[in-house]
Amino acid sequence: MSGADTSHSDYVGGLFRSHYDWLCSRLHRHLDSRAHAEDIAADTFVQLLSSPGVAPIRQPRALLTTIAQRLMYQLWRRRDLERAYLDALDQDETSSAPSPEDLAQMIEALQAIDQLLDGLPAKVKATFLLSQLNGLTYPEIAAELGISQRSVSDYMARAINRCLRLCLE
Amino acid sequence: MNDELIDSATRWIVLLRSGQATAADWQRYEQWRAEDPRREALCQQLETRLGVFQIAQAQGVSGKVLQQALEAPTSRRAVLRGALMGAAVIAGAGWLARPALEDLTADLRTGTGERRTVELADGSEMLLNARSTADIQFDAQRRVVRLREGELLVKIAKDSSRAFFIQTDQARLHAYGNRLLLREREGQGHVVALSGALEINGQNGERLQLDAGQEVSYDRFGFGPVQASSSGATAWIDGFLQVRDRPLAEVIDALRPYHNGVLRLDPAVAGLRVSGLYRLDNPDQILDTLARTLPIHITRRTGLWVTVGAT
Repeated sequence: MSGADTSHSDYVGGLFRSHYDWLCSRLHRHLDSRAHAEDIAADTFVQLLSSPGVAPIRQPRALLTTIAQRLMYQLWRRRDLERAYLDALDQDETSSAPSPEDLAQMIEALQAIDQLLDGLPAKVKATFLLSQLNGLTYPEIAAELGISQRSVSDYMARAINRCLRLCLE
Repeated sequence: MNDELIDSATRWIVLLRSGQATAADWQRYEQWRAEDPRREALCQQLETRLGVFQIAQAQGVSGKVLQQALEAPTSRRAVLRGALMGAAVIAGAGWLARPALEDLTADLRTGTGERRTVELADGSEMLLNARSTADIQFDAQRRVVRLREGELLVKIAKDSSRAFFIQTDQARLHAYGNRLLLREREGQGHVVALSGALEINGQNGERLQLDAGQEVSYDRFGFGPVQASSSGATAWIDGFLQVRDRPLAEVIDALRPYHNGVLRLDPAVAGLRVSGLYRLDNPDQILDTLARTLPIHITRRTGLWVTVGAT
């Protein structure tokens, strides 16, 4: 470990001592358990630890709040997705209960897919998913969603364009 | 440069997935791809990115189910942003004497199996039942609680200059008295005037007055009959569920906010009559108790998926 790294971790250590309790109680207001708040607070400092370029920070609590907020969105989105996924399975008569392992894997995948398709309109997502998962052709997708084949091509182009853009980021 | 690359790659992939691409199309695509290492790299990256769908495919998840899951609402995020940003501003500029922003725009939510009491800025007291979300929108003219989902009991503090309203998706409630209970889940609403009168405006323009001790159910089409309230409606406040000769479906619905995951009820047993007083903090135990007294069978496939069926 280089000298610079040591001083950065000392610095973050100092922040941890003076702000960890504050951050936990701030987060606890928005989360249903103390344990979740502590997890997110700890992750916040881990993120800070892995970005050596940020020191010194003029307003540490503002930065900590920003990082924690992002982590909390991720946690909440994950919960929303899990709940919506279980509801969707419940409504779909052909689905059966997933095993805990399958479910955990699927929620991971869902989060990645959610980010991949984030911001695309619902019809575009629906079109892309029918192609990607069910392997339907464009005429089949058009019939399924009650839209024109022209729209199917346009929607596919939008979805693929976004995925390609993410690849080059 | 990149735009051009992305556009031409998009055109190829859109063609190849159409179901109408010929062998010659595939050949020309392979050629196009091999001509430039940047094209090859991009196409490989895309394949890697889309690898995440293999998990869904392996588990036989359909596009429709996935689509539905991705449509999960994210409404809480925007509200949280406001609340936490307020916190950051106050923390960063502590010397500024500012009112706490959270008092102006609050977001209250409870998780599965959690009940929470909060004191509102006007001194009113609100108790949120499990799996409920509410926003507080108080200003100089009026006090509005927006119940997004779930159930609340509110003890309203007197304030002659500001009326107290509760807004839900299906109704707007004007409370004159001091205690009321309101529940709205999946479009089905229920109000109990515990003390004092209240007025409800339905979505269809209908208006109804409830006196203390009365309750009514509603949905977007209108109100049900006004009835004298039973003590069972408020039993959850103390952590109990009290029912007297009610259908099993109603009991299961009351348990849902306390159960993590899917709770499926076979319609064949939904109409069975149930009476009893149950502790809400352990829904699994309630189900087991019900299974001992009724001709039903509880199947737990994972902790998250429970089916109540006929024996």
